[in-house]
Amino acid sequence: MSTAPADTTASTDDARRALAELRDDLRRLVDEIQRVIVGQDEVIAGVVTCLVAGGHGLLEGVPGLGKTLLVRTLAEAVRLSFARIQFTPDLMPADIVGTQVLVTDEADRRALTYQPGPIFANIVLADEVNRATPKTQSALLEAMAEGTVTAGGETRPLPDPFLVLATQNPLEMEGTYPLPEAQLDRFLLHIQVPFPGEDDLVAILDRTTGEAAATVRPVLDADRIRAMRSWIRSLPVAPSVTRYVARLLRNTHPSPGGREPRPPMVERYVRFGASPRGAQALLLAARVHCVLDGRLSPGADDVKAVAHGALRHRIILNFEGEAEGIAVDACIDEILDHVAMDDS
Amino acid sequence: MTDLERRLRRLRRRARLVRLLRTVHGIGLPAALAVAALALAAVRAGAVSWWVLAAAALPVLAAAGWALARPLPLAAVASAVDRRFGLHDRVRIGLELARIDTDDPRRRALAALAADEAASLAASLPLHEAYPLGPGAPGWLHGAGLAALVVAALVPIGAPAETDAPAPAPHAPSRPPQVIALDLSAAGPLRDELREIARGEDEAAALASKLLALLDALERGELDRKAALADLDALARAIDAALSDLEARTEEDPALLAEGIRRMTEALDAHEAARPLAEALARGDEAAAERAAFDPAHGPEDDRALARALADAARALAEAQKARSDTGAKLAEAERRLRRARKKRPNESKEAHERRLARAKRRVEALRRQKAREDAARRRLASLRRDAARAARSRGARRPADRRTMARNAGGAARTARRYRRLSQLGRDAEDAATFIRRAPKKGSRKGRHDRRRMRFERRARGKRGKGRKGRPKSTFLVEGDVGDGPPDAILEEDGGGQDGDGDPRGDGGGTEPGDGTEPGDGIGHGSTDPLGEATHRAVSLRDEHATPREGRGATRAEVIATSSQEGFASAPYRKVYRDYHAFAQTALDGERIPEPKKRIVHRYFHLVRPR
Repeated sequence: MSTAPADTTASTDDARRALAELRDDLRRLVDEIQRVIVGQDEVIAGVVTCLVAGGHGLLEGVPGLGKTLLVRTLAEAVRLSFARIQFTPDLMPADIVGTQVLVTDEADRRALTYQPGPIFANIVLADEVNRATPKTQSALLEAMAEGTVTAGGETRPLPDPFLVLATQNPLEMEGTYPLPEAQLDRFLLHIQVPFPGEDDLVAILDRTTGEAAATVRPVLDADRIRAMRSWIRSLPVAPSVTRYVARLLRNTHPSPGGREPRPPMVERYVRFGASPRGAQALLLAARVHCVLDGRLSPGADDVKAVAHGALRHRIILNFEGEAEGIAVDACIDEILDHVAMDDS
Repeated sequence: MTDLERRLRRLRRRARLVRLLRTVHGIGLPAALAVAALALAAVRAGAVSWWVLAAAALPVLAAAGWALARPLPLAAVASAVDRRFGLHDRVRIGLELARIDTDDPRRRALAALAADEAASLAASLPLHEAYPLGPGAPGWLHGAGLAALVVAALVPIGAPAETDAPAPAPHAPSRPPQVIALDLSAAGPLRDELREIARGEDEAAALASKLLALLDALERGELDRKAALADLDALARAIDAALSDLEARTEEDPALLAEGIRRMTEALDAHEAARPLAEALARGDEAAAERAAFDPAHGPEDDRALARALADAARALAEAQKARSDTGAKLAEAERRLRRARKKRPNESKEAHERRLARAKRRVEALRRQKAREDAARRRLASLRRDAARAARSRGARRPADRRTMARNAGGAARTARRYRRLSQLGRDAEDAATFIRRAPKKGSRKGRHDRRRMRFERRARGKRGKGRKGRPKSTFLVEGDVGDGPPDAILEEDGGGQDGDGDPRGDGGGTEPGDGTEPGDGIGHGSTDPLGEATHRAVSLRDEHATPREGRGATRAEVIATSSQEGFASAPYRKVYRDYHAFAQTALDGERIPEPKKRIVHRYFHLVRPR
């Protein structure tokens, strides 16, 4: 029994087939990564979400949890070029975007030639991004936002797909330059890498201290990722879900003058809520989540599942919130409890 | 109209009916019972006629009207279906996407696909289960309404007749002297706790019932204070024996086990989906815990929520397992003392040395046993933690077995923990009861001992009954001539209200009525005119002197405690300090007029900070 008009039947079958392929490809990618990475299911899902949604990810966790290995494994599994930049206080913007060097050719003529930096790769791992100076961070974040690099008066496009996965360590804050809120907003998701449980640790030890190392084979390529991105953006979203996302976003802001009801924690502890870019991130990530879960269109549960990653770096606590040690995730939990999908 | 819409519209009719039933049952019926109770009471008292009882139908009609008038959108019905079957909004989204209008052919095709999927889901599921018919279980409001109705039915018909008390017979036989009952009204919270414990069926419940009966007998005057304290002592010994028995039969330390189970149930209780499991564990009900741990009717969302709760419970158990105790340190110290005790002191008799050695050995043995029990309890908690973690992780066919195993093991531990907790609580309540019995004033006397003491002090402070032995109370005498610097015709009136003083009733100067007392007078008194007279205009140099009062340790108990609290109690054992504080607070509670709820808060506080 079909509710679609007759002339769409053929395209409906195509869409069904394409979505099944999309889901299979995503699952194969996740499975491939899980051959190397033990546990960390949510982190893997977050990174894959960034790849497919076309956004960038910020991974936060203490050293040694496998953040770098995860990104490297992802690059191997998708047959894309990979570059790693270790951010240090003396790293300069030119070290990232490249610079012009004087080259002598066979005819002994000298000319300035552009030498591309490591950012010209499909997947860039910006390790410990908060260790570099704000100037250098800006160079990277500008490239992330624009998808191009300007050097020597010439603008050069970055490869497509282009994905930056930055990492930062929440413990050692001395000698670091925390990313400003405006720049944090450029990341699609802020993924927290938890410490593995006992069983996961046992599996990690078994897998990493033996002779045989797990190998990864590429399951996707750049063309396929571009096609997947296109399909993800084509997924229809019900108007009530879009409205739900908008209401969630509005509820991350304290009410102006207390005129609208807000969750108590937001009223008390939040200085600024998420920007409209946060709502875009929420909806895009929810689309990927629904495909990963085998559904055709995102619902409220998909939005809830990605809300923490998409909003936690976009909500700024006020002094009281900082002083009381309030976790942004607790605010988000309360917002999710407070806001429901409209029944009208 | 699509097929999905047609199905949802049909379901909406059922939803309206269900909502009508629930509103009438949940709101209309309790309100109707309350109105009926009021009307019945008024009718029986003769204030209104019987037809007023018909007003009880009004809340039912109002609730029904409200339920029918409220709109019920199709989206809400679709959401209810999604929630019931754990469909992640698929029906709701399909309903909306069926109406979507877009130029993008790919998006149109995907929307049609989603709408098709929703329609086929709706066709394959028993949608009526989303709105089960039936009014639902009665709640406390219904109980309250019924109780009000029963109370109203007991109101005497017409004006209550006033019956005169029968006059005592002129030669009534003399009754045997009765024990005067004690006023135990302040023990209300304690009784509540005891009633809570008495609800069970174990030995704690039986002992709690006995304790309650003892308090009741004391209050009715069937027991005197001494006998009650003796009975209470016997009960306390029985409680101690039950606790010892429990400890002897349990390999693990029950206190540590109870703490672990408490943390586990708290962690579970924080999740809506795991609340039945937490409640079953709190009751120590293994069977209910097994049922709550795996319910085949649960949807995937509930399952995931339960898995999260179990993961939290595993973490809570891990924390409880890591909680430190000072038994190890105590054991090391006791072993050091035992080594020292092996050496005989100079001038110590052989018998004294053997007694000292035996005492040290007993102490070491007891601490070793305790340490072993704590280690066993930690192993048990570790095992429970592994069970919880496995149950949280397990998927597929193994999930029911893992969860049931976890619930069974946790239920067994919870039963032991609950038994220990109830007996310990009862022991503390018995101590509280002893305090109440010792301090309770006799019934009928409005003031207790502390009140009487306070009133005696107040009387003295006001000087109403001075102790000058031979002064003349309430005497008035005139003094002619100069009294100090005052005017010559000052009249002093002495009303006997002064403190014991050094007043000289003979006056000063050539009065005609010098008074006849040779002993110190009864007070200072106050004049009916200004006894100080007018200013003398004598040249004096005035200077203000400030006296700094001495703070800190003073004569009263309150000052001593206040100072100690500022300086810290490091030098005094907590148990003693607690006793002092508790006794002081109890004195204040007994002696002052404090609202009962506030008294309860203070009792509760001291209950919580009690040394264990």
